[in-house]
Parts: sequence; C-alpha cells; structure tokens
Amino acid sequence: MTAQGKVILETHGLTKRFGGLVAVDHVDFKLEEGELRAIIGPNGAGKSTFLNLISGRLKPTEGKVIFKGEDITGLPCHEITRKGIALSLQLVNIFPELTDFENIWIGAQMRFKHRNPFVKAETLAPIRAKVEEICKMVGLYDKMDEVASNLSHGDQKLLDIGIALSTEPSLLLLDEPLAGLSRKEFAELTEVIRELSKSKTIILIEHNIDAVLKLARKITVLDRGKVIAEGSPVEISENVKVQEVYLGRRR
Amino acid sequence: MAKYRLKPTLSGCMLATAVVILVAVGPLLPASLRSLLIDIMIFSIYAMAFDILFGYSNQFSYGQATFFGLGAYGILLPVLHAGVNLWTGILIALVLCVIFGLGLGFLSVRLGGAYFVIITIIFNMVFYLLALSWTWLTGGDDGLTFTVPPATIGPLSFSLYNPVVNYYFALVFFVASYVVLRRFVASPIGKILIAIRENEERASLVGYNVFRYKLLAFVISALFTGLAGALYAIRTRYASADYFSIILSGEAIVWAIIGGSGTLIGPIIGVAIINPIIYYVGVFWRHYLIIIGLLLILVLRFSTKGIVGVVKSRLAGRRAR
Repeated sequence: MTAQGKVILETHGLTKRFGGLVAVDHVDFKLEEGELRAIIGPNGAGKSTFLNLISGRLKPTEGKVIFKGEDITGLPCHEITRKGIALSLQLVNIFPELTDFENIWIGAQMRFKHRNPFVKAETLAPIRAKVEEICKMVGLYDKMDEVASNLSHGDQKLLDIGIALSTEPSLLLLDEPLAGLSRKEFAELTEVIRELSKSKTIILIEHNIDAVLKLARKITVLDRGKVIAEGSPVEISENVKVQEVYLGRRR
Repeated sequence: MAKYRLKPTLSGCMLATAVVILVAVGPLLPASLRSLLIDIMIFSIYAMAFDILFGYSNQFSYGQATFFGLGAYGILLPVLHAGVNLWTGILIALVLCVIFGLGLGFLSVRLGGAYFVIITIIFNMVFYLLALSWTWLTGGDDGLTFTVPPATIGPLSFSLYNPVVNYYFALVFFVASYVVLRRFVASPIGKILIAIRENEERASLVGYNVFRYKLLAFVISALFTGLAGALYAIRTRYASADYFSIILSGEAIVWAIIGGSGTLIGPIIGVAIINPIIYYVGVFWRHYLIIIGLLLILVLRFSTKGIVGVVKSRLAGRRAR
C-alpha cells in the first residue's frame, strides 16, 4: 500500500445546474492520495457530471475544486490536465486514424519541453521510451502499429486509458471503463486498473458491483446529485438508504 | 517484437530526384511550359499552405485568397511607392500576412465547422470588395503594375525579367517551402495539429490548448499563402482585386481534394493536374471547368483522400498481402 492520509482532491459545495435540473448538488468530497475510490449510483445521479466538473470539461455553477491544495475551479481542461488530472470518458475517445503508438505519443510529448519546430518528432528518444512503457502497461505493446479505429472495443478502451496515463497524471478519473466489454476484456481491464491503483490515485465510476467490490476499499454513493453514503463496501451494502435508493431500485 | 513508426513521409530520395530534374530542365524548357511550371510551383506553395489549415488542423477555410491578395499587394505597394528592394518587399508582405493572420484567426478560429467556413468567406468578400472599391490604393479591377526590382545576393544581381531566372527564383521558394512545411508537420507541433484534426476534445484532454494551436496553423497558413501571393505578383509584375477572388479560395480546396489533403504532396499534385487543364484547355474551350468538375467527382467516387489517398491505400493493401 502506498502512503495514505494526504488529501489530494477535495470539493466544497460543488454544484452544477442545467437550467432547472440540479445535476450535482452541494457535494463535499475528499480523496486521499493513493486511494482507489468508486463512485456508484443510479443512472442520472450526477456521477459523470461530477467527474466533468473536476476535469474542467464543465464549469461548476457553485462551489470549489481543490487539487493538491490549489484551487482549480473553472480552469480550462487542458490546464487541469497539465496539473495532473486525467479523464477517460465513458465513450471511447481516441484519435481514430492514428496508430496506437501515435495515439499515446500525443499525450506523452505533452510533458516534454523541446518544441523546436524543426525537430523530427520520431527522433525524440525519451518520448519513444515512455510510449513503449505505457503500451506495455495497458497491454497494447504488440499492437502499437495498428490503426486505432481497427481495434476491438476492449482494446480501444485500453488505449483510451493509455492516452490518459501518457499525460503522467497523479489523479486518474475513469468513467465506466468496464461498460460494454466482453468477459475476457472485462477481466483484462480490471487487472490493469488494479495494477494502476498501486501507483496512482483513481476515481472509478462503475455500475458493475462485482468489479467495484473487487477494486475499491471505499465507495461513495451519489443519488440525484447528492452524496447519500460513503464508506467501506460492507458499510455501503448494509446502509439502509443505499439499499432503498440504489439496490432497491435496481431490482 | 512490434515494428512501429510514426506515419511515413514522402522519401527524401524522391524529393531530391524531383529537384534535380527541375533544376536541370530549367533552361531547356520551351517558354510556355516553363511559364506553366512557374505557375505550378507558386500555386503549390499556396496549396501546401492551405493544406496546413485544412488537411492538418481540420479548419476548412473558404477565404484563403485573402492572404494571397495581401501578399501580392504587400510587396507591390511598398516597391511601387517607397521603392524598397525585392527582399524587403517580400518581408513586408510576409509580416503583413502574419499580422492579418493573427487578427482574422483570433476572430474566426474559435468557431467550429460551418461557422468557420462562413466567417472566412465573409472575410474574403470584405477584402475583395475593399480592393475593388479602394481604387486609389489597389487599382481596383484594373489593378496596378510595378517594376520588379532585381534579386540581389551580395554583389550579384539577377533580373527577374529573365524567364529562366524567374523559374529558378520560384523553384528556390517552392523547394524551401516544401522542406520547411514537411519538417513542420513531422515535428511535435505537427503531431499536435494532427491530434486536433482527429479529435479536438481528446487533444484538449491530454493538455493542449486547442485554440492556440489552431491559431498557429492559421497564421502559418496565412504566411505561406502570402508568400505565394507575393511571388505571383512578382511573376506577373501586377496585382488586382482579382488576387483576392473567392474563386482563388475555392481553387485551393479543389487542389486539396483532388490531390489528397493532409499529405502536403497531394495538393501539389492537385495543382499539377488542374493548372495544365486551365492552361491548355482553357485557351480554346470556355467551359473547361466541366473537366475539373468531372475530375472532382471521379476522385471523390474512389476516395475522400484524393489521389494520394488512393495510391497509399493501394500500396498498404499490397504490403498487407
């Protein structure tokens, strides 16, 4: 286990309204470094919106997002990425016409400073090494030369997470990474996430309870934009409110 | 072990061969063919500049002639009124295009898709109509002629009125532009532009300021379009409001689509196919545009990536077999 106790991310009264709809409603949230936190909740609970607010894709209506002690509320998403938060969206979001290698290269070169307009990108050896390392990490090393749009859905998801990793995040936001995968892909990706959780702080939105119980030590439950429970898997499954709102409704 | 590389570019050997041939045939060519080649080289610079915008950063400008006209007048007016030398004139033209590129880009680059197309058309029309009506400055429809100063390099001085000199003059700029732009698109910044073309949202999610890079592409495109405009003014010793013509903006699109956008070499092939048609057929048949239209349909029937796209996929298919 990594050193814990230090808060890496907190939100204070984070709120997002779309017209009359309150998608995220005064959420106070704390995440410790090295944690793998699962966020669960019924459809429309505001889970994805919550991640979008943290990553800067959406601007909060009210409230604050504090990352490593710094207020990042309302910054554009490319700046938030540079500060070390990477988001992998629910739908596969890659560079379809490029190879896996190039896909990951794009993110990997972001941290490198030399932007001499006449350097051939291919000659930058440190980036190349990093791309290879990430390809190994997500299990795409043998497919580096393949064009991303030709990959299976599961591999595209792995690539998506690879792109997120290539920006060297200290906090990784995964929005339903396991949705729509085959049994084999599911197992592969679960393993990748477990492996990643040893070195990174992760927020995981997931509908699949088995995966959540396998991966996370702490779970936050959202319903209608509000946090209704937080705790260990056992606490959550025994929580009456959660059973009513979430497990009950699922039946 | 996986073999991998970033997208291959046209091999240096082919480029070198092409340059050697172009250099060698210069003095031997019949005058009309030489003249055609000069046009092709100059318009190729324009076509490549457009490709940086359309093919590499997915910004479909229908107003690129704005910068062609600015480049042309950017050299003509200082030479005509202030008597500056050739190099200073070209420099003024380029600086002018960068300034206007920044300004117009700042206003338009944020707009996506159809809005970008429309606003670039509007810019183009504004500049065209201004050039038409400000006859005191531009000469309007009749245009202005000027005496082209000699190209001086140290103690040497070459008159651009000599067609062979003019040919080599265009060749130098054409090759230099190709090499510079080829290196640019292969550089890390080039990769970022391609990423933005492929998926703008993802590019910003890996930490790139999409607006800034799109603006950069816009300005570089303006710069090289302006260079082409200046060279064309030098070649024709003339500029008129027609250098801002929206038809010229449309031609860049046709070159890119026929040759294959996002390849640099494709738009050059586009120019090399279209211009001879205009040059040889246009003189005796008024409706030569029909041929170009049919050609466009024919190419699009096979591939949206133009001739280069078709060739590339055939080659890739053969390699896979």
